[in-house]
Amino acid sequence: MDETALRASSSEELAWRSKEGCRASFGQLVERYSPGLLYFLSRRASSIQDAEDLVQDTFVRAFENIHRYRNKWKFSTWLFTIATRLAASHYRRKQTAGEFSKAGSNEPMCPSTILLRREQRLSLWAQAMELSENQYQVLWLKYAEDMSVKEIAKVMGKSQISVRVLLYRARAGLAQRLQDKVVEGDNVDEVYQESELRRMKTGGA
Amino acid sequence: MFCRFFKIMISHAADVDRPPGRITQRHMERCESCRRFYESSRFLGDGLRAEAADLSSACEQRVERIKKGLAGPSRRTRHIPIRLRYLAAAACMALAATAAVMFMSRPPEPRPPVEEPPIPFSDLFVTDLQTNWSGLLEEPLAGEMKSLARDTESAIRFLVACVDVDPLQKDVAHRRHQ
Repeated sequence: MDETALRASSSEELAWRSKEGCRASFGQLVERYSPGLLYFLSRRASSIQDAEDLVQDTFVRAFENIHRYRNKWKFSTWLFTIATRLAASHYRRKQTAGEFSKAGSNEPMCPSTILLRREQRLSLWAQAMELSENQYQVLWLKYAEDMSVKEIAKVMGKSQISVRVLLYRARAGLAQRLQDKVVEGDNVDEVYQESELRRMKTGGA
Repeated sequence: MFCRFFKIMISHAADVDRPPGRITQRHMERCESCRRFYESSRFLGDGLRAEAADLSSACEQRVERIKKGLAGPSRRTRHIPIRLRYLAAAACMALAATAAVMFMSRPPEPRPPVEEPPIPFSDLFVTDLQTNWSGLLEEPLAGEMKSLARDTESAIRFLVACVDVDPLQKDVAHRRHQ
């Protein structure tokens, strides 16, 4: 199958073909979901290499268990559920080994935050990185992966109500942070202007 | 007062990408804080979506690294086929069974006679000394108790002998009274 056809296929179709042994389809899935998974896991990781390792582990696990994938859920939901569980067990193991301080603590500059800031200076996601781990993750799943509340609940292993509450708190927290930046006189206008420009480019309302 | 409730309603509406309900909208017309929250929710939603798309396209190098890592030998060797796992489990079970059979078929070895260890001299001395001391204390007390018991017995016999009444004499006394 050629590259264009692979790119045009939906994730569920690619997963189905991977099930039948098509490696190129799985490669396409890796390419499609690696960035999302990387940013999804980066808030929890102690370093960007750590996050990359976790993404690799997620794909290895997904490939080993691709025969178990059913069309009941979207492929992204299934994949992010694997990632969440792997990350949880990975950090539980690390915490018991005492390899690094508490994951998800509000450390002001974890390596992934530095990386994000380098790439997107003072971006909204860099601000979101400073929210709690769960709040960041629900925001990522909602806005970057375009998942519904039900799907987010499935990925995070939480009830739909707690996901809604997390989303509310994340929005309120992020709005407050931006408000504080305005009060501090930071160059938040740039952020607004950049975001407005992007919205216009993407044809947003 | 109800702003928190309305903000939650606004957030719930943003969760499903729909405009808030009529009551919430009416409240927003009057409440600036809620109106601002609604605006910021919309702005954040659109901004986060647009930035996420940019971020995803910005990390091509890392995606390549991940792909290389997945294709690398270390990743390939990690995967153990299920057949091999079953084979390994069967081999382990066979080994365990052989070991059990060999262990059970072996005749029991005769046990060597158990020799009681000799009691050390110091222990003997301590035991005797303890017995002697207790004997020295107990013997006079026991003799005293025995003599007391004997005295008590003789006293009781004397009393019984004194109190004993002849039944015939009792009848005579009764008749006299009548």
